Amino acid sequence: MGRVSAYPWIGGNDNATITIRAKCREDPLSAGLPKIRRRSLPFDPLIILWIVLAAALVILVVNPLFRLVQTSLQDTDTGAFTWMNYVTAYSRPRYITAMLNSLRLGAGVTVLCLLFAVPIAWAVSRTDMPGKGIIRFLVLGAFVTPPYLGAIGWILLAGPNSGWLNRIWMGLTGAQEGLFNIYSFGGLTFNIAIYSFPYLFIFTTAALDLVSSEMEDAANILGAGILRTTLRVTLPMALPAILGGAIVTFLEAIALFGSPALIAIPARFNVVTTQLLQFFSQPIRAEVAAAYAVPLLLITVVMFGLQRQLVRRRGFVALTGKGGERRVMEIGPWRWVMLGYALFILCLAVLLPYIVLGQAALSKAWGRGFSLDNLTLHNFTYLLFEHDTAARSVMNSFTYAAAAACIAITLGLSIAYIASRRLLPFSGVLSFLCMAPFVVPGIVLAIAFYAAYAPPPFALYGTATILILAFATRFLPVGYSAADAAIRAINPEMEEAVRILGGGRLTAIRQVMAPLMKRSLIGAWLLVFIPATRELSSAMFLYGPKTRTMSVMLMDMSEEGNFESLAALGFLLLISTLVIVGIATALLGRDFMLRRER
Amino acid sequence: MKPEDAPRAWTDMLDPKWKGRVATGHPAFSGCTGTWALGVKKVHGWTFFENLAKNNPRIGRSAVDPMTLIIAGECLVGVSSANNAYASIDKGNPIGVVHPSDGLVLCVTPSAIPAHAPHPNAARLFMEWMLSPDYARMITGDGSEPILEGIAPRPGMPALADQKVIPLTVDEIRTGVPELIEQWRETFGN
Repeated sequence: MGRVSAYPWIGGNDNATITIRAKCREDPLSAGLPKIRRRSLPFDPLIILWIVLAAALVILVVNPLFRLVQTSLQDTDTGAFTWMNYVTAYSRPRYITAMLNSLRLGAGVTVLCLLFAVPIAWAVSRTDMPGKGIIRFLVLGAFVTPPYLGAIGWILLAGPNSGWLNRIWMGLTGAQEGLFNIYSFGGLTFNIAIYSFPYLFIFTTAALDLVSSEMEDAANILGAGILRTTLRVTLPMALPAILGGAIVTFLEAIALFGSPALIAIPARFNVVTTQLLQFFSQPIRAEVAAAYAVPLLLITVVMFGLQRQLVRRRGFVALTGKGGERRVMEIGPWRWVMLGYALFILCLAVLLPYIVLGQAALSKAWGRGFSLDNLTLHNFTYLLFEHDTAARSVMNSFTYAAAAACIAITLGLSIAYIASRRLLPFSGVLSFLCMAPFVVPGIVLAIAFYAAYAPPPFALYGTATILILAFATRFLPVGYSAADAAIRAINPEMEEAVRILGGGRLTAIRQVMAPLMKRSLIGAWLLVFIPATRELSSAMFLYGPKTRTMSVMLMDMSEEGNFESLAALGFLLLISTLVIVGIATALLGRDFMLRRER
Repeated sequence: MKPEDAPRAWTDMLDPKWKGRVATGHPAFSGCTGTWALGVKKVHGWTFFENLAKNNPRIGRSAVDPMTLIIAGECLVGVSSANNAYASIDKGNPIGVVHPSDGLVLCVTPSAIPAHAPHPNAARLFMEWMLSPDYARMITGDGSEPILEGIAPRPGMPALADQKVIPLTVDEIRTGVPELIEQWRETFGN
């Protein structure tokens, strides 16, 4: 029992502290302990924090998801318990096909993203590949491109008859048919992957940047070549991050709504999100949609559990505070091969789509092609000065995204800290709840929010509040993972040093953790903010006349066939995002997803 | 595409020469497309759509999507509303409009005043104006159909009275379209 009196002051091993405290409360013998020992276990103010965080998660995650599950098990008219909604949701082969399509889509996108992201991330982070600045900039360009805008760009590029790539192919070879068909399963998979891989790139470079060269040197000294070192030493060190990123990519792909709406509907197959849209269109069958969405929740639970198992088994701590030299590897002529590969992928993601979108944005009528008398700036002036709601929707998007990012990061950070340092019991539950929204496709989240907060007493439908809360929930997993990664990268020994020297936990957080994490936290904030500015699927069912976001407007314009204005609005979105990222870069001294050259 | 190759009737769209190049909206997304499909089903039966499916049509969402696909050169013929088509012609896009010989389907857009509207008189005034010659003349500009006698449609557009129209009642549309959407999904796959 000697440890009991020693540990609470030193706080060396938090895990031990917790278990011992718990024992003291339960053990009837502890009542007989001398008073001084009891005073050594004061009321922990962290309990209040825990309650606040738990309450926030109840509002954002538990209640909406509870309402979702409740709705799926209720008869709409009588409110009685029933399994019938599940029967209806899986009664037709095409409903099942849609679900299988989503799983195939998620798997395909993940594999493609690994092929796109990991080699580029490795080349940028660990090698002497030239042109890293431009590659990072182009990855950023792909990251800030809303997938639905990219989908429209690729419809213009790879439409089977009219796409520019196919026209060029037919012109060059005299072929009667185009080479690419974006309106296909492969087309959709490729299109989503080319705009999802930046997530994986960020996860992977963040991890690779932390791998010390000492380990690679050791491998080299023992006779391993570059390839062997990379495959056996460097990449395994980053494996938890890569797998975590891959799982995020998979879940993100199956939750995506905009690209499937633009590509899968004309290609005449359904995925889960377009199938859900069918359940929500007249006559609305929210209960069937809820039943249809619940199994997806289970898939994510399983995958998240899997990721945690993987990360736990290999508990790497890469940043130790002891300093380690990090150098780039010299890969000789291969650096040009890597550069070529990176440029090729980024041409597909950024350069080509933006050329065709630029043509549309600057055209009077984009069908007339590239010609001088077709040039105009009117699409931009129209949006900014003449259109009733465009300027307002731009403002809405940025305000809601900023508010949502602040909420998501504050929550994610607090919970990740409590969980990683095991400060309080049941912190695993909190972190699970932070990740739970990932399983919920945006449209389902929107309906869950609708069910929970549209009716009185809340009556929040169509307000900025419901949109901000929905966005915060939707991107809470991103905020949490980023904060968690930032915390995991810092060995607790630095905090422990503070506490051994007599500093309290708050001192440790303020003096050690905050300075170390400042940059990664601003990076994490941007990781939430940027996707939130372009968030479509959860906004679709929650916006009101005054709270329309830019994404909803872009989608409306695509349905109106108004591609000139749509492309112009897409450019405005891109430019304003880049300006914000530029300001952040200037403030941080580095890009949010990139380190300066070392 | 030469003008004489253009389809003249809905059934001309079933010609295999348009395989993969026919565009329509989706009745579940577009009320206009739903009404159109109901009208064509009434005249030609569902076999029309089963045959259309064989022509591998490109199905978008709204009734404007076919316009977009045609302007892009992705598709060559499609089903859309006349005002969309004329608006696009006015922008300089090289397309043409055909008023099919087997019958137009009118996409009627009714208006109403909610029982507890805060400004019912203003709404009534607005509806009066929508029934005025001023409004009728204004909408002919983009190819919408004026419903007042004595107001000519957009130059080059045949008058409504001279064309065959497939009649549909409100009840037919209300009960017919949801049923049709299911049929559509069975035939076209989504």
